[in-house]
Amino acid sequence: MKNIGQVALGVITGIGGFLEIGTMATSAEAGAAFRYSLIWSVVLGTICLIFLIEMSGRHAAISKHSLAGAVRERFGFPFVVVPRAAELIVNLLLLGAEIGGVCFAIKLLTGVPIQLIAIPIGIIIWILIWLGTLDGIEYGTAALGMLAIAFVVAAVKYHPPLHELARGFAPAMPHHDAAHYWFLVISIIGANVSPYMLYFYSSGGIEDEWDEKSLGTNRLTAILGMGFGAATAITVIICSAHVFEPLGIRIDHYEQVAFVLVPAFGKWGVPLFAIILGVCCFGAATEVSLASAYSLAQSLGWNWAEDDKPQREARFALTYTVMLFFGGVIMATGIDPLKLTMLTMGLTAVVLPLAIIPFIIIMNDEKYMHEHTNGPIGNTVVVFTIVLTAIVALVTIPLEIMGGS
Amino acid sequence: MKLINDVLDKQLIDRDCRKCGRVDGIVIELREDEPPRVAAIECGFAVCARRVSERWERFAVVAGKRLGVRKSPRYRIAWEKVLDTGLDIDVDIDSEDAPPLAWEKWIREHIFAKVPF
Amino acid sequence: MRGAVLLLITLALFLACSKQPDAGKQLRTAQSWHATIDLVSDALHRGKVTAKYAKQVAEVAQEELAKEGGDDHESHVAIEAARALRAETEKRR
Repeated sequence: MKNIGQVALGVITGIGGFLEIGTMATSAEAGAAFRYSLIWSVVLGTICLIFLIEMSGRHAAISKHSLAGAVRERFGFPFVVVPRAAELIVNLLLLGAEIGGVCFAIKLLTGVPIQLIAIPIGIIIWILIWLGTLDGIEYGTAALGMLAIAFVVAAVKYHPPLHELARGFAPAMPHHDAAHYWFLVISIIGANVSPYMLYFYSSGGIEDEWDEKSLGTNRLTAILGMGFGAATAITVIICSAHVFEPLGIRIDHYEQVAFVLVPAFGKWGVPLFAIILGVCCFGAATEVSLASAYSLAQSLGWNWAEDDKPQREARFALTYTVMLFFGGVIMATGIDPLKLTMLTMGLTAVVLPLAIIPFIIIMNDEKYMHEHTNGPIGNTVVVFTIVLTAIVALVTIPLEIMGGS
Repeated sequence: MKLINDVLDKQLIDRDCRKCGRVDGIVIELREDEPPRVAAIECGFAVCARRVSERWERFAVVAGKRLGVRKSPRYRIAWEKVLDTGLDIDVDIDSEDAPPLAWEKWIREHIFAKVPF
Repeated sequence: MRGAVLLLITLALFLACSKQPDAGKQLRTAQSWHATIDLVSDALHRGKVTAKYAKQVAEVAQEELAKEGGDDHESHVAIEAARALRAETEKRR
């Protein structure tokens, strides 16, 4: 029973936690520009993510060591300094975008400008992290994020042509706007396979004191949680394809995306979208800020634990405090949230290979994993993901210039 | 024991089971007519910086002197204080009042003490 | 090595900054925003969106079209539609 409960919570976290500003923006833009033909990139990114998440959880359960800590121990300080610094910068931009998502949701409902509420929203998130526990934060925001089911309902109501939908699951060459198409492929992979999710999941596993008995739950949670989450992202593509593509509407601003549920839900469409976006981005912002603090504290050997009093983990707490402050400042400058999101997704794709390369060593190290090292399938997926993300990293900057919004 | 594999960059745990940094460097004493011996483990940002480049080390030392709360940007733990090595390194020190947690204490007393909850 | 990296960064910045206004892109942007305005306007008349939301869309449309600076017929029509929608939302409030 306890295991079923844990898997259920994992699925809820996956559905409610998968959708955030990056997946929302990339999925909406993909559906509007290319109908269903980019669904395959969501599936590809999710398969890679499922394997990596399962490995992160397995590593936490067996070695009782964090992912970031294990990378420092196995590869040394000179190896980690560049990836950690790059990840922190990208996380900061992503945090700004997530805070921007929350602020935009409030703006949709009330008309209050984003610049005015960006720093206060950062402070509210900080208070929640300061006073809350990891489970409370994770499950609370994920449960509210279940409202994202509205996209599934809308997608069913829109009656997508099933044969065309099925074709979207297979990779295909674009018929138009090739640079924009491939830029979106990269952005979708960057939105789905974000390094911060791996550090957050690994750290959560250690805080929850997972052990060998948790391996089955971990695997199911990874598959079902990320799987259902990806399905929600695909429904955003379907909704966007139905509402915007036939009219030739290209997504340049979130104000356009907000219309996506109106044909299905009428006058409740925009408020529902605002609530879903606000809650999902709020949850993601807490995850990104905590993940940044986790990975820095673990790399440098500080005390760290969300469930402990912040005064006992002062450097860890200061890290997420500083991240949230500057994340709020970024949005207070008036930068457009959608443009920041697409830039960040591209940059995430650039740092991905550095985050994933260590998996091939750590997951096969018996000192950490004992008899639970990777099998041939796991290693094949890791190598494939490294090659894929390396290619993505190489072409991201030119594509961002040629095909980015 | 392989020093780089088994000691360097490992997590330090003090006698109260608190994390107190990582092994950023190893100090080896060269002796005449005797084999070298491990004298101490070293911690601190300047030690990490030296492993990246000498320029980073100089920057870390200057920054440490201007902004640091410790007397020195480096801290040594004698090898005799090392109780156990494995995935973590257990050391026989009380880190609460020792240099490894000096920043932790400073942030707690000067920044978070002002937080009302 | 450092020289090569610097050259790459300079080239990327040059490419980014030296992009000439693309007439095709301006037309697509104008058509896209015109379609957005029509969609939101229709929904406003049918009571499916609030005047507050429609005004936000109209304001953003005007900003984007002004930024593109298109001088073709489609851009002018789109800007006029955005202005009309904004005026209507202000009448309703």
